[in-house]
Amino acid sequence: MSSDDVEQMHAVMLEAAWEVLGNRPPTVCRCVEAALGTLAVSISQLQAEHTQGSMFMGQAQLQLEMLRNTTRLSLYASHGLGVLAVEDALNAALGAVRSQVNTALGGELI
Amino acid sequence: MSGNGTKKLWTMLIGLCLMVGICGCSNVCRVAEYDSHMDIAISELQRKVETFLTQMERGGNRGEASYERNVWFYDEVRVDLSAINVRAGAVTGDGPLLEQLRLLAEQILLLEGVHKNGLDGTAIQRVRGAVNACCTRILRLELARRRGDAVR
Repeated sequence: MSSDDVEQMHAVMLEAAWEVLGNRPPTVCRCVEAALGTLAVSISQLQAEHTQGSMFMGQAQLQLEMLRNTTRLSLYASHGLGVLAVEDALNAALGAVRSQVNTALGGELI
Repeated sequence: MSGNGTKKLWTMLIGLCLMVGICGCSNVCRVAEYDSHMDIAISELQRKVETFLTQMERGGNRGEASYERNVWFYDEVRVDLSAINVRAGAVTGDGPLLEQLRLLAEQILLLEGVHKNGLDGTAIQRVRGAVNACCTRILRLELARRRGDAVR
């Protein structure tokens, strides 16, 4: 996955998350942007490893879940989002790229 | 107005001011006090996990790094987490801490799942980052309480 593809994935995830979160203070915005940016990069790395054959789908799914939890923590740290808002934003962000990522992998990573 | 009437009025006014003051202060509440045991327990757990991951990195693909030979680690960490959760649960209303502990337990469970299928260098890096993020967040909560910050 090229850096342009990662940026595009990041943008799609952000748009989906903002639709759910609505207007938030700038500190929260920066936190969400950074957290989803890291997640997008990590997803692209998992994709690459699976495509190269160094990781099978089950492993990738477990590691994605781990990354998902880490993203949850980053979003909690923004102090402006509750547990439910974080969950909704994360589900929306991943839902927005699910089809693109899974189709590219030929399996259900997300 | 008579002297008694004025006295009564002043008494009522002072009482009203005190009530407003007490009600106003009740909006800022510390969910839980700082717990040094929690602080130490989480630090020790992080150290245990880090020691384990470092050993796995050295073990590489040799037999010593296999899941079957390291089930003891997961059993120990499970017991540690149980004790930590019991302590956290004993503190009423500590929602933020309990949520962080739930995530930490889940990360350890995921680590176990990953290890069953092979723990390579990249996976170890990811796991390390994931577990450290959890422990850091929990320690920040506790240290904020130690400073006396109001935690909602």
